[in-house]
Amino acid sequence: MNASLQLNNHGNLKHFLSISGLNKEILTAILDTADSFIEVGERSIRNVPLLRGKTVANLFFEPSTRTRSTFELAAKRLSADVLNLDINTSATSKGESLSDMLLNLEAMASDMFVIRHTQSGAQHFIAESVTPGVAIINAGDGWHAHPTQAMLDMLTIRQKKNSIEGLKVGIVGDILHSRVARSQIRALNMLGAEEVRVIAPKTLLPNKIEDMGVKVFWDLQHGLSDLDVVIMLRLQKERMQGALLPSEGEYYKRYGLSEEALKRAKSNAIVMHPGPINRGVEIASSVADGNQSVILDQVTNGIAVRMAVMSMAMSGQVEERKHIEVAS
Amino acid sequence: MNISLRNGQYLSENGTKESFETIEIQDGVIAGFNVDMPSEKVIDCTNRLVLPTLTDLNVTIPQTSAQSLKTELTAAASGGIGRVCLSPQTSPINDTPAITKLIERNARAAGASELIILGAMTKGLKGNQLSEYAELTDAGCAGLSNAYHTLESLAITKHCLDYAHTFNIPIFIHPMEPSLYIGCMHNGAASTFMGLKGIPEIAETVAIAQLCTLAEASGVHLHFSQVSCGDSVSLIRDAKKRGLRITADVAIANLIYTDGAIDGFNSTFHTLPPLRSESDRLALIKGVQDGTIDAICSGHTPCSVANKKAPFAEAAIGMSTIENIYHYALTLDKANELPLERFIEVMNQGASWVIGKQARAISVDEKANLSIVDVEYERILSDDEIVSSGLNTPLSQQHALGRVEHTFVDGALVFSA
Repeated sequence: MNASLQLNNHGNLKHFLSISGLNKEILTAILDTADSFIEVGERSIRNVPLLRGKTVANLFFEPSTRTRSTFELAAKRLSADVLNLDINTSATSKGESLSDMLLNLEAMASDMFVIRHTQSGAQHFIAESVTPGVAIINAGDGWHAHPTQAMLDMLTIRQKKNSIEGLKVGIVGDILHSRVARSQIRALNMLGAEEVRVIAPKTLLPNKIEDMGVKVFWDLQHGLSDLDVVIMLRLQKERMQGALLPSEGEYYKRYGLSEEALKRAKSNAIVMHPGPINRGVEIASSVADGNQSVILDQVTNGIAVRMAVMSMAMSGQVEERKHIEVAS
Repeated sequence: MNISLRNGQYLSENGTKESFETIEIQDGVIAGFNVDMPSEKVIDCTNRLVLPTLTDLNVTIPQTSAQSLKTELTAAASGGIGRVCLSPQTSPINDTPAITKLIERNARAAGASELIILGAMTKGLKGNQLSEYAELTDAGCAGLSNAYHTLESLAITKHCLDYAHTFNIPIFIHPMEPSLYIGCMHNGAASTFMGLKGIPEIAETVAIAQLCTLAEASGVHLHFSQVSCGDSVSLIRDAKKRGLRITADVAIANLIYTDGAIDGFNSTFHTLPPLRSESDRLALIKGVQDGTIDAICSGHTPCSVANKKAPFAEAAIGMSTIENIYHYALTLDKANELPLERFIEVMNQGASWVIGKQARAISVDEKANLSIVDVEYERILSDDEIVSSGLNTPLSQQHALGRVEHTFVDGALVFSA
């Protein structure tokens, strides 16, 4: 991935599009900044003025409740003005191209776009064509990336395990269609995890996934063995229609995280899930609510990570603009 | 007009470079070598190569107005390509004799490279009803193709092949198994990294295996357009060994680029068939070297800038290649992957054989069908230089090799840089 698209000429974040193209220092800075915002969340006055006077537009071309809400909350805690636009994807198919739509949105004088889109790479395309000075934050694109989700997961792991380095992490479920998994794999490898595993039936694994630096397991029991972190992915019901799986029942028996299955992992292993969870499909209720589960910590950390990314990208844009003004 | 080419080298019929003092072109016909004849125009060919014009088996030009054809056929001439096969994917689709005749008339008025027209195998390219094969050939179609559209069933495919065999018309097929041919790029590490849906190799190889069996049963001349996988080359090699009437071409992009070029969602490299892996690329080159693949085509598809400006999967499909074919040929030659002489052989003799035409030859009494090429020329390609309506070339603002200075088509000097 083209690193210069995400970083300004000082090497600081200016867009946040994917983990790929960034480096360990930037990821660590995001986590450290997020840590500082967690304290803000615990205060009685939770707002900080970092984005005061700035307008953040949430553009969701794909339905989302939780991700959008946490982005909205994060922007408000940074004192930004927030504009929410739920864009029916059919609006673009009605003839208005994405680039035309962007011109219209830029005319609204936004400083930052938080975008979720069904097409992989849509945010890259937008970042390449947007006016300089406007930051793009990827809130999920197709099957490609969901980098804020990955970073909130890293933050959660770091809180619980002190460091990512040396950990064995397994991601279980529909890797093929998962932007979350792709971003997690990148982030875990960049932050020094000892081993990253993907565990799924062959129909839910993309070709050459091992080239991303993971070990592939078709068997849950073997895959869970000795793990420090177990990340479960949501199973979409559509997968049965595409004949990728026969039934939820068979899936749960083979790949669902039951209390019994979890015993294969280390006794202090943590269980994560990007949500929303399907109880009894990919994870047993008792595990989701059990003492090894950190699913609710992930949600809380989502706000802090999004505050971190938004404030860093905005200051990266300001820094670049100053640099350009000085140069000219 | 009588034109004298002076002091260069030319590529002879047997593929060797020969020096000449003069090549005299009198009224469009090569009248003599190394003789002095009266001439109105002299072209200095010092340090230049005189090469036969090439034949390109696959070009998509959606708009077939006189102006549009003139632009693209001039682009072809500027690339040293003297004959261009037009895909029936036109607007309107070339599935009736009247449309064929209209396209032919517009092409002739262009006064540039020659257009060879392929008719639609099925009405509206919809894949379920035969178009009028005999009538289309009478109107001037040299073969039939269903462009990038698949046929509804193997039964329909069988009827197409058998009916075409009745009239001995070659069938051009892009091998695509529709239920597997879903995605926007090659299914490999790059598609996995970017989360783009990948088209697996089997989407092509399964189609080739089926079509070889059908072609063998039918006896028709079946031409595979734009094969893209290493395993496809092996299947075609085996089929040829069994004596099947099968030919094949490969698009230049698949000999040069791989799926890695798409990194960063670069829509310039959104092509059909998709750019595949390095091992596929090398197997395709080997196929060209050993004759399994008969021809190289440009696969030229001009797209507007606006249509390329979209998220990768939604961006227009195709690459503008026709006028820089020698850049690619020289790139392969310099990389010791494919000698220039072999490249020209497949794009001249090989491609001409596929469409049943005589190859171009630089010899006495032949009409001048030749280009004068500066193979040492290097430059950064600026968009102003691009002749085609399609600026969608990966060479835009990049280093480009070689330059065609003049092209003669059917005796006429149709292009000068």
